[in-house]
Amino acid sequence: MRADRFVALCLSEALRGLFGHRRTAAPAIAIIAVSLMVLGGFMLVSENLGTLLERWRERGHVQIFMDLDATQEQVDAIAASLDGNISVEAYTYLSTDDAAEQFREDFSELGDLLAFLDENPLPSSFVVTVNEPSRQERALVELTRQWEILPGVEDVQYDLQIIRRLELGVNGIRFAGGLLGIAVLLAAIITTANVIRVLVVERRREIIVLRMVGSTESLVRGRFLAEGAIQGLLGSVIALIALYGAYKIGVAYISAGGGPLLDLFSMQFLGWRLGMILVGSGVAAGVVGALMAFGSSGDRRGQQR
Amino acid sequence: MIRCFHVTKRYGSITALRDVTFQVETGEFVFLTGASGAGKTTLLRLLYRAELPTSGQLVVAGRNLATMPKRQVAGFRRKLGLVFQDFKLIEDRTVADNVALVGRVVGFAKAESQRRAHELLRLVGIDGRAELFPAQISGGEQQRVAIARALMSAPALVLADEPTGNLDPDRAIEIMRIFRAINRRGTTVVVATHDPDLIAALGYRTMVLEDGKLRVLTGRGAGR
Repeated sequence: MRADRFVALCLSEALRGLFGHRRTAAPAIAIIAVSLMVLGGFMLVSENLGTLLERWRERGHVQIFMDLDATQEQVDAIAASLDGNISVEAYTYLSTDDAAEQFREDFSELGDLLAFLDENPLPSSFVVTVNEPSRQERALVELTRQWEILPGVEDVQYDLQIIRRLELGVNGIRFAGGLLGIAVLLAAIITTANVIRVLVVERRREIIVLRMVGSTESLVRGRFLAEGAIQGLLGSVIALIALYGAYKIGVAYISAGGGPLLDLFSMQFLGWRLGMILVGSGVAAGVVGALMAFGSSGDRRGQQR
Repeated sequence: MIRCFHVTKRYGSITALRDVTFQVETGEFVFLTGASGAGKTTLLRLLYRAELPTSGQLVVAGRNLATMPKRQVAGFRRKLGLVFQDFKLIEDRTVADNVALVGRVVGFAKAESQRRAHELLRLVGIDGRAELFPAQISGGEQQRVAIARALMSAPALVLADEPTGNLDPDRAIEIMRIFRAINRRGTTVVVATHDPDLIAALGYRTMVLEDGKLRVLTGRGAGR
C-alpha cells in the first residue's frame, strides 16, 4: 500500500473511531488537557518570571540610600561623584518626600500609613543606572564598595542581589513544575492507554474482520496509534485555549493591581517553541498510551488469526 | 490451487483432522461437508492460515502455509475471499463501506474503493441497499454483502464457511447461485456446508469429513 494512502486510511479510520466512540475517548482527551494545562501553566509562569528577571537584570540599577540625617552638602557631594563616574549612565535623586510618594503609589492598599508615623522613616536615595559593562556582578560589587564608604551613605543595594534570590525561586518553580508535569503526563498516558484498550475491545470484531480481509498489523495498530495522537492533539489544543484564557485574565489582574515592577512585567503568552513542546507532549502522551494499550491488551495473541 | 498432504491438526489430546490429503484445482467448485464437529471449520481455518497444521503440508495459491512467515499472512489473505456463516459485517458501517473497506486495505484510494464496492453490490444484486447498515437488511442480503466484500480483492480462491447456515432454503439457493456465478468467472470456490440439499442441487465435487478424516469424494470430478 502506498504510504500516503496508508496514512490517510489510518487517520480517517482514527477520526471515524473517535467520533463513533466519543464518550469513551472523552476522558482521555480531558485528562490530557488538564495535564497539559498544569504543565503549560508552570511554563507560562516560569517563562514570564524569567523574562521579568532578565529585564530587571538588564536595567542595571543600584540604589544608594542616604542616612536620615545626611546633610545637603553630603548629597551634593555624592551627586558630583556620580557625575564624574564613567560607570554611571544616569541617576535620579529621590528625596525623602519622593520616597514617601513612591511608597504611597506602590502600596496604595495600605492607605496613608505614613501619616500615622511621627516622622518619615524612608531615606532619600540615588537610583543609579550603571552602563552596560558595569552590569556584571564583579563591577557592581566594586561600585558598591566605592559608594558605601562615602559620607552620609547608609547602604548601597544593587538589583542583582534580589534577582539572585528570585532566580532561586523561579528555578524552584521550574523544577516543581517539571516534576508535576511529568506526573500528570504519566497519568494522562495511563488514562489514554486504558481508553485505547477499551476502544480495542469495543472494536474487536472489526479488528478480526480487518485481519481476515488481509489488513496488515501496521494498519490495525496504526489507526489506534493515530487515535492516541489525535486524542493528544485535541487535549493539547484544549489546554492551549484554556491557558490563553487564564493568561488574559492574569494580565488584566496584574495590570489592575499595579506595582513597582509593572513597567518591566510585560507578560507574554507561550511562544511558538513552548506551544509546540506542549502540543508535542500531548501527541506523544497519546501515542505512548496507545503503544502501552497494545503492549498489554493481549491483542497480539490473535494478530494473525 | 490447494494441495493438502497428510495434514493432521490436534488441539491437545483432541484430534480435529487426521491425515487429510486432497487437491483442489484452479477454477474448481468444491463442497466440504460433514456433521457438526467433523472438522470442516478447522480445515478452512488451516486454508486461510488462521491456524497451522500439527503435521503435514498445505500449499494454497502456491504458498506453503506451514513455512509462511507471519508477516506475509496479510498479503496471502488478500488473495483469498472469505465468507462466514455469521457474515462478520461491521455493524456501524454502511453496506457500501463494509465492502469498500477491503479496497482501502488492499490499497485502493477511497473513491476507487467506493466505485468498486458499488459494482460488486450490483453484481450480487443489492446495490439499492448500499447506504443502509447491516442491521437494516435481511440475513440473505447481509450474506450478499459478505460475498461482495470477499470479491473486493479479486481473489483467486473463495472459502465459505457455512455461508447459508443462517438462511432459509430459498435464500440459500440464491447465495449458492452467486457462488456458482463467481466460479464460472474462473475463481476457485470451496464451500463448507452440512446441507445435503444444496450439495445435491448443485452437484459439484464433494469432500466429506467424518471425525476429522476425509472419507468420501463424490460428485462431478470426484477422485481428482
